[in-house]
Amino acid sequence: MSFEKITEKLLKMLEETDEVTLKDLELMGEHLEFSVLPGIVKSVTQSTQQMISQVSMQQQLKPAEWIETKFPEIKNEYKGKIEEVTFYRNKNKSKVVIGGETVPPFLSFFGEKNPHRPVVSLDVFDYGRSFPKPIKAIYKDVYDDTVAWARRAEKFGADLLTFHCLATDPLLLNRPIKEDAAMYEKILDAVKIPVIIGGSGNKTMDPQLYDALGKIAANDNTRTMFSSADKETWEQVIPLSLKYDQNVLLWTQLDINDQIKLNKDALDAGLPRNHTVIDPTCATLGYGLEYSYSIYQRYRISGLLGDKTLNFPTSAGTTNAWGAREAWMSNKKAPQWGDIFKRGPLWEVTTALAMALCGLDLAMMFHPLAAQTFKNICMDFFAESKKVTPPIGEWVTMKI
Amino acid sequence: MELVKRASPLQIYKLLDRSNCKECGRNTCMEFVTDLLERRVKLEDCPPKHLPPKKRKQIEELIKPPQLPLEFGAGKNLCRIGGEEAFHRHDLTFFNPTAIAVEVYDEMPNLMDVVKHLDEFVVFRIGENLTLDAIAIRSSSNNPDMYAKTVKLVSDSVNLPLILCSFNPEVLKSAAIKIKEKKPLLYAATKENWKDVGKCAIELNLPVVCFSTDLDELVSIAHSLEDMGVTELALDPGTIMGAGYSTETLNRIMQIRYSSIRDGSELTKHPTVGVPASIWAIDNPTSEEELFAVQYKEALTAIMMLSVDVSLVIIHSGRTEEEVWVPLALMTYRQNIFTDPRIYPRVDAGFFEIGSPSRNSPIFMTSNYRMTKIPVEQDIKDAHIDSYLLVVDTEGLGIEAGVAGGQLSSDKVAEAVNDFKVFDAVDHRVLVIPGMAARLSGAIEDDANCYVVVGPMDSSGLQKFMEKDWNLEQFMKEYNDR
Repeated sequence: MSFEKITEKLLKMLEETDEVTLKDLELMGEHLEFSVLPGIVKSVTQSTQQMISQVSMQQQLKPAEWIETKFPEIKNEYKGKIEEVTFYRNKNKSKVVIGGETVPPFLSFFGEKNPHRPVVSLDVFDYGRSFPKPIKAIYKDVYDDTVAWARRAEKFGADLLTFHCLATDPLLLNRPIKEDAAMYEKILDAVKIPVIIGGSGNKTMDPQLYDALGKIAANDNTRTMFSSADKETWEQVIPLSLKYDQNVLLWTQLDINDQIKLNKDALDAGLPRNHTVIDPTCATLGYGLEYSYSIYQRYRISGLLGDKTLNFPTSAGTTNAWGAREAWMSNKKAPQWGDIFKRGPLWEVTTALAMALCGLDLAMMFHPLAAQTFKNICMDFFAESKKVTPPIGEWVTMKI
Repeated sequence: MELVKRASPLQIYKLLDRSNCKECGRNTCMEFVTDLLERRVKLEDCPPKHLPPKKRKQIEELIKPPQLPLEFGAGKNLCRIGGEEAFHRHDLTFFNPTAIAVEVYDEMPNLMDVVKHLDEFVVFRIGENLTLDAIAIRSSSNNPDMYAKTVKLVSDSVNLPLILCSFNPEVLKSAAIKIKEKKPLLYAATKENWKDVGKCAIELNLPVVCFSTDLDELVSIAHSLEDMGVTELALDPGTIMGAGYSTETLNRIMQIRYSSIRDGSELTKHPTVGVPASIWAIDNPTSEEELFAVQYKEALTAIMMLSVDVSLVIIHSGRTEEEVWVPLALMTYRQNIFTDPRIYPRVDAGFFEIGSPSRNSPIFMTSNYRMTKIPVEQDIKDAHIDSYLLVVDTEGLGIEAGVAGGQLSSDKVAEAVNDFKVFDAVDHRVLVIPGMAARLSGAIEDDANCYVVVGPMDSSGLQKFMEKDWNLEQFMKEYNDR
């Protein structure tokens, strides 16, 4: 075969081949010339390079060299601001301000810090019910003495209280509103902090309740909050808030469109922006907390990015956590979950912390240990930064 | 930035041969693309003859998440962390749940009992077995022989992947070499030891955690190790909690998060590690009360880290049955947060048989909120009650919320009773409603023409309810007397 023919054949073969390996080949000659196509040259170089890099990996030819590197800059894109809402007693003798955020919760590396930590309101109910054991242990003796209950909750370090007037629901005790109004007046006399007015959820009775208790708050020179107005009651509740200069909690149920609409309606009806708090509903740990997590976060991020329909402080009823069976079920019934006095409050404070990291301003809580723990965590986040780093690395060798 | 920069399905579809060969198990190439983006199918499932290397590579680049995934452990016992692409959960979904590891140490007196407990630890919740993901073994002895021996012993008796913890490269290597086939995660490379730890990682082909509370230093360690040839890295920016520290700790985690997932920086593209356990090196509880406080602090630090999608947390509490409430809360929270937010909380309303109901079986009512309906159904099954379950459309809200907001009303119940011809299935007109809906009982009796029995406040009480309170004859007598 002529050399030309061999080359032609070879080239044809090579067209369909990625790689040619020559085995046991001896080449002899005085002068040896290879002329190959550029494409082939490339692949030869590539595979040589690959081989070299493999060899270098194995032999670690590359010396270890410290590369001083600067952490990338993080740009701040949050241009919006959450509204500030104020609660006070007797013309400012005690005052609580929430909201005012310009950056996501607890962050400070954007060069700005949020002005107010999340605050805690402890629940006071107008009648005792069958509450879980850890709650019972704290309040059982004051179930029938609402004023004593309120005093105790204040002593636990609450920033605010919420007086829940459940008994006024005709389907529950159908208690006359004037009885709860009298209780509310006594509570205000007994404590120094603002007391939020909590409805029973009955759409007919709640506006009447806010009218009666709002009047008492106004006479006390107190600005607190009606908790709450929803899509069925806002038309009655907003005028009452204007009449008595009270904040209003606009409550919806895990639905962003409902919240936007309710906020808009309330503002159109004259509710000042700095009197508006929103509650998109706090589900509990283990039973849908993720829905609340995402909706609180969406509202807060939208507000921080400049959305004026959602830039309001938020409230969450973390008391709902006690509806989770991991929180309320007794040690006898659920020994596999550990001590109820530990898991119960942890369930509530976890719910609160999760919401706070998404954007929560006011936690309505039930168990004092959960409340104190949550408040301490928030205060820790708001404390002045310490520059000295404790020796956390010692963790690795500790003998516990 | 709110939008996650994701490859569009069409971008990928164009690179496929669109033959709809079905070899990946999907009916069409488009279906493959959708599932690929949802990570329900792997790119390797598309056979080579249908996807040449060049195009495969292009697709790989397109679907590469801004945070690299990292795997440690071997065989069936893999721990896969990182690989996230959503900054907020609601932007898309979080893909790889935060791995939870409990730590032990080589001189621990009852070490083998503890690791067995951790290995077998499981909590069953809402249709899912929740387990731990790894065991971290520290070397408190700082003795290479002792550590290597202990690690080998543990490795031979547990299934969970291991994390080897020491700042002494010699100690680390002595153990790593013994169990390298099980691919442990090395903790940690620091400014002081990175060369030797890096060398060990390259020789044994293992992933490494970099540790520093200074972010510049942290990325310098990572960068230097990468340059050396270490490919699998994770970043631990240090865990310190308390007044003056908490914000700094969260700041560091979040700066890495913004940089990698929002901004796509190469320097921070690694999974992150948090060590709530390190709190115990600072806070030394001396009383029962203080112990409890530190346990809370640790648990809530871990909760914070799960909230912001830290890839791996190492905790101290949880070694014993007594401390079960700590991992229980963490694993429950993780189960919540790592649920796909695109799955709606609403399930189908309807009328369902549970077990083999007869004409005298009870009818229970519940809402169509996923987290209500599923546990209720499970409880009835667990209690072996042959029955019917009426799921009312409450717009996806739970019982208490539905009653409060009006989405669960007597009209709604009556409508469901009629629509699903509920009482055609039985020879009675008794409806058991949840205790939380007790307020509606009178109205439901009127609107749905039935006898309402208020059941327990929680479906876990249904078994007791059936034993003590269920009396069909009595109920029907009262119904007929009206």
